[in-house]
Amino acid sequence: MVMKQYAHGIIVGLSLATSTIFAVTTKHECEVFGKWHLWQQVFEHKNIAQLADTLTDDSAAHRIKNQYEHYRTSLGPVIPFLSKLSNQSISTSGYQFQTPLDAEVKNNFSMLYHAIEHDMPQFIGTLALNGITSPENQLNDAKEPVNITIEKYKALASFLLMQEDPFQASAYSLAFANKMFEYAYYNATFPHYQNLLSSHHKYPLARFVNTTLWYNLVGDGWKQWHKEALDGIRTKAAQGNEIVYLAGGTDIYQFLREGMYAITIIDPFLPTQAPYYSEGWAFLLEGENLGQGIGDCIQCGPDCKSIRLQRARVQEYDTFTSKLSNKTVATFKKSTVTWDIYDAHNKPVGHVIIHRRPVVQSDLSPANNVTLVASYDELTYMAMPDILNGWGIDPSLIPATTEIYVKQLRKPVNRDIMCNIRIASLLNFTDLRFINLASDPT
Amino acid sequence: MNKKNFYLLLLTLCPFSCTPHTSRSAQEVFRKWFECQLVMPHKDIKTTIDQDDQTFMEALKNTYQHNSAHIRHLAPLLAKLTAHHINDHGYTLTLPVAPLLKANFANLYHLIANDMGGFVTLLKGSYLSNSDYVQREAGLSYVNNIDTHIALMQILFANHKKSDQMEHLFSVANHFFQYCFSPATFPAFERLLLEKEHYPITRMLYTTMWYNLSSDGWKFWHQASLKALQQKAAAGYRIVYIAGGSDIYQLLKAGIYNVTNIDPQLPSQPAYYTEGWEFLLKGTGAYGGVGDTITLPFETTTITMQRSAYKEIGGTFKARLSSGKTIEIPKSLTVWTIADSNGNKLGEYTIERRFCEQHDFHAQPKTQLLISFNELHFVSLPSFLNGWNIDTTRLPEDFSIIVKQLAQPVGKAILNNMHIASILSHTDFKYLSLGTSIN
Repeated sequence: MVMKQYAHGIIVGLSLATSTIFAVTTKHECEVFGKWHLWQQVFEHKNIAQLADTLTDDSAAHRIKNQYEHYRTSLGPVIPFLSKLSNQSISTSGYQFQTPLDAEVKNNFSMLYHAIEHDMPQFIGTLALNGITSPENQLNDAKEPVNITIEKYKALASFLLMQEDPFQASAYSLAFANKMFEYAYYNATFPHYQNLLSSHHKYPLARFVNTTLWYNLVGDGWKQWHKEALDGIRTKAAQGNEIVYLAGGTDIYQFLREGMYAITIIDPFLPTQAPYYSEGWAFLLEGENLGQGIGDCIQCGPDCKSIRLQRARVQEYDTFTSKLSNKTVATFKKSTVTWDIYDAHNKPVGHVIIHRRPVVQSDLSPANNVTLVASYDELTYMAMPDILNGWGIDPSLIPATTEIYVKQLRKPVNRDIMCNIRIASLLNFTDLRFINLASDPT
Repeated sequence: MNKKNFYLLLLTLCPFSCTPHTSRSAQEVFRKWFECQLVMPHKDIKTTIDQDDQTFMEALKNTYQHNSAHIRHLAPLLAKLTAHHINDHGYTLTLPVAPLLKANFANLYHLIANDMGGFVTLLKGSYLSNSDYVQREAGLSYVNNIDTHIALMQILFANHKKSDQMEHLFSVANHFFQYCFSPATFPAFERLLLEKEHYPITRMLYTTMWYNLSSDGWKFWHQASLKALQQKAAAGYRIVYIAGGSDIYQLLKAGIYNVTNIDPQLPSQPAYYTEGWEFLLKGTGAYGGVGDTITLPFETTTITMQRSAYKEIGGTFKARLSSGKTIEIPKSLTVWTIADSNGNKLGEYTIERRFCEQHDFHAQPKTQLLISFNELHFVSLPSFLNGWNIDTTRLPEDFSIIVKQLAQPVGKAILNNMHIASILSHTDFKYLSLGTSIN
């Protein structure tokens, strides 16, 4: 006991010495996580079928008209489909909507909403039967630059969801992308989606699906959280699990805000990815002064229960090399930085441990008390094979019981889903040759 | 008749009157097919169990002894299947046969014939999926793995009549093919191509298909495919044989006389051709041997093939030989008119010497596509895996091709599934290709 106290005294002494020899830096959370304050949003799940209820009010016709006017420059090639959907209210010669909406238009939209929510193959089949796979649209896809095709299918999804409020539009788009994801990669419907990737005349449908997934989960959605994902992670945290965020970058603000204080990040922190990090990413990894920044602090505000993060330990190991997005190969030192978390009363409540290294296979075989989290973009790289610049992870070796919570998805994913993403990524590469499933689409 | 047509007529008639023709017997042109081709009947694989106990045990003993060097490491699997007649220490393949052995074998045959999903599930619970074995097999060379799985199937289908065993295994390969690539079961097979813990099962499926349909089976015809072709021919269809080499003999024997063969006839491939392949393509006489004949005596009739045209149709194609050398070959068209013993025309056999192209797979009216299994594999491959640049995604939904070795024609969905499997095989499974060189 005496020895223990003595040892403790030495550690305290060393800490004090460290803090007196090397200056410590204290930053406010805004300096480190300011980008998350501005950019990140959490969306509740939306039931798409319930959009049918909004067609009954008098404003529905106005909304359709407004949405069509907003997106019409991109929607030209799919007018035959929109014409059927709108009971000829939209045509190649113009558009004219009756107020209130006529029953057939309501019925058509309602049927689509119901299919999106409950039977995605039927939704896809309806698009196919009503002009999306027409030779004219095929030709348009083939001759236009890829960004024009992306805009067309983004516009189609937005038009169908008919949301004028930007926040609601994002919420419904995320919900739509979730339904699309479940359709594309869940075992029950994966063969249907795979068939789209393997049938040339169905490629417009595959492009629509892939655009919806990419834009809402990567292009625009990389910064968004699904509330049900956060809820699930919070429940696991409350059960005492360590939250291990694979390739999470500096994306921990939501966890801290939610009171989750047992967090591990595994990420190589490649400098070319800085746009996806918070502005203080380098500070999270290393101090600005000599002495590894031990003792540095980040003070959070009331939104984060006024907690304080203090850099407690830094360990450095050997190096790793990574191919950067600018095609160069760079070498970095592996390190582990531990930030202790203190509550407003200076009581230790947890930690953030940052492992600076790439994700490896064994990270996906977690211990029982670990909950894995990833963002959709990074999940895709974990699923993809080496020939597509995947991260060398073999999804088939992930234990069947492993679940990964994905920031943008309402339900966790498992090994089966990752295997299906791997297969789809290959067919996307060999046959469809449309946009990349992750990162920059082209 | 104008002047141009007159000269053409003269050119056509001239060879018959001015130059010597070559007449060859079927034996000279098609001897290899006489010696090695078989038409495999549909075989109910459950009949393997019908051998009497003594014959069965003798066959099992001989087959095991012959293959034991390749299969010793699978002794725990065989011990379970054979009720310990074969075990870690050796074998006691004497009478009486343990009832459990026959029951186990009968169950395997039943599952393969009727419930391939159940068969795979059974194997997932067997020593083939034991983690130590999975690791061990992963460490073996692919040649060793091929030998292991060929040996395993030889033992499971041990038969005192070699021909019966070949027919059974040909049928087994057909069942495996249907399981692997049919839309209903492809999702399960697709997963087997990714899941390392089941790779011994996947290797068994691949090896059995490859060996019996490609490596050893490239020369065999399935009776059902020939019958389907006969029916099409009887209905007035022309058979378009994609990459058919010189493989015409069985078709003629089956009374199928209107055939177009699209094949580059690469000089590096004679192992797969009959000895008379060059003669079939072009004679040594004037005008490419127009007027040359081949006489084919069959049991009930004799037919004659007479070369009625040969022309180089302009242009050449480049072919990379297996030696690595690239040669340039002129595109040509050879037409053989087929007649009965009374000289009545029965049909025409046309050889288009060129590579097959995308449009060849978009069937014309009254034509039926035909291909051999090995070549079907290359059609399904993506370009980056040295495929033949056929885009399977562009095939019409009602696409159907009869495959020489398969009981049932292959449609677009199955070909697409082969395409997907070849990609997963390249990135993950990394075992043998279903279409490879002659055994």
